Amino acid sequence: MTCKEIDNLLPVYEEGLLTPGEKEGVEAHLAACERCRQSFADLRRAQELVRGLDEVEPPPFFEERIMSRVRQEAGEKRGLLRKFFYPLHIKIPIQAVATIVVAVLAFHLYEHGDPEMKRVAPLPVPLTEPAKEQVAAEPPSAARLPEAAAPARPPAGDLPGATGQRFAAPPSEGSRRREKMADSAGVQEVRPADAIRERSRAPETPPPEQSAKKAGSEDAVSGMAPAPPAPEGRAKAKMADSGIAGGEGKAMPAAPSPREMAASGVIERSTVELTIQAVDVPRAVQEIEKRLGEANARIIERRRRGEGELLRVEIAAGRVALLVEQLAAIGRVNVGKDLPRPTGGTVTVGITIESRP
Amino acid sequence: MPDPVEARDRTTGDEDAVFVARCRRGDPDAFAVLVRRHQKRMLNIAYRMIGDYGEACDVVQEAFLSAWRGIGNFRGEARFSTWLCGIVLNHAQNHLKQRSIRSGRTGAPLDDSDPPSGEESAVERLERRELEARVQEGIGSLDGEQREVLVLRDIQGYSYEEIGVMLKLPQGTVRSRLFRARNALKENLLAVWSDLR
Repeated sequence: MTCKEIDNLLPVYEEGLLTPGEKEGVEAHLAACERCRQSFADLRRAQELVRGLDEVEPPPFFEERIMSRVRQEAGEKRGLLRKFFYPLHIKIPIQAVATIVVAVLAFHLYEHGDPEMKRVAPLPVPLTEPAKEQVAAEPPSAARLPEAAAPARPPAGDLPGATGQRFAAPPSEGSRRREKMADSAGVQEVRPADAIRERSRAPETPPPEQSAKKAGSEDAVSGMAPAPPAPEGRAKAKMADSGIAGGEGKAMPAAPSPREMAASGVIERSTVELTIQAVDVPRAVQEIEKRLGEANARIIERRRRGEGELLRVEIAAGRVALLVEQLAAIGRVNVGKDLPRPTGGTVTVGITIESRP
Repeated sequence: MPDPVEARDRTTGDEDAVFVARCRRGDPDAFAVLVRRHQKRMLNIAYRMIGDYGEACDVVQEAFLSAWRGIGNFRGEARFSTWLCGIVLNHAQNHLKQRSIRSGRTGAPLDDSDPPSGEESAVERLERRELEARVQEGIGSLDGEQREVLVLRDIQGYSYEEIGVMLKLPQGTVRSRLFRARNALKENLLAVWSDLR
């Protein structure tokens, strides 16, 4: 090895980074070369001096000085963020709460608003010609009776059927109206005694076929409802009272006119959609109309629908099941949803007569 | 303050990792811990690089501030101290570029912060300080690249690998620079020794 080569290897000689061959070469050269030995000694001394340099200490409060700058910067950063996002601290929660409130309100209205709206603003019911005649022919005494008899109204319980009706819940209003409409359509009158008896007999309802045959007789009214509920019976009794002024029925208020019924009170409506498939649509329609007449249903809408026809009728809720049974004899009946429970009230039934190939 | 041993990060073995994580979430108190731990070493590196104590303090302060600002960029691939040392060296190099090294101001702390030795006389102290000043002068006469490897290896004792990470250099380059730095320092100090003789 030459002295120049040794100069390049000496700086790392003591660190043990040389290969064994290099190390042997360096050691052999150092043993023979005085200049390189001196150079190596100077190098070691320089390194010792460098390594022996004292460490300096940080000045007093050096950490505090640094951290003062850091905290200042951190504060400015936070302040900048706050400046940009502070409004959002308020806005975002308010907007979120407002959105939730609106959503909940909308859901509540969707779920519960429809019946409420119906109660507040009942739909006007057009009067049929017979009903108008009935209004016109209604005895003045019957209309005046409530005012005259009101002070002498017997306490509740004197006449279970009649007095029960007097304080009946809104659905009975619907029954009353429906029965009034039925009367006005010229079905028949029911005497008070019959109505009371009918109530007590309600569970012993004759079969539908029998009731259909008895249409026009005094039992027909009760027979039309397969399982007439108590309110239904009370409604009939009341109607009977209003129709025949006399006896204990005088204590009852006269039935309101159809117009009053339409404008006042709550009319419970639900809608049932039926579809009947028949081969001969016109004939099926005739049959259906006949059945509807027997069931005291009132056709409120009639329109053609393709090759078929749509009839929309109002019928006592308790008679829907019987009607469906009767319609099943005419054609294949599909019921859109569950039939209404046989409670008081009127339901609207949409009957679509479709042509079956 | 959490136990540093417990806080030791298992993947990098960096006991600063927990505090670094807190710093990344904007916790200045955690950064204060890191400053307390590393301020002395960073100051010595800067001082040996710059040769002026006051300027070194300023450089270290700026370097710590840069570290705080850039802590989000630290990915934990190396030790925090290695990353921090790289920042200090950058600031020191920038500082050296901005001014010419003042040979008369060696930066030796000539105040009372230098711990007096009971066995050392005042003359001996002066001689030692003079020697240190001359050595520092010799270091300062190296070019920036040689100086930083010499400071990191011979004064601070970093490994070649760590120096390579700090300076983003291959270890072979670090070694060759160190050869040249040591030889150059030896040549610089020869004059000092002749004067002292």
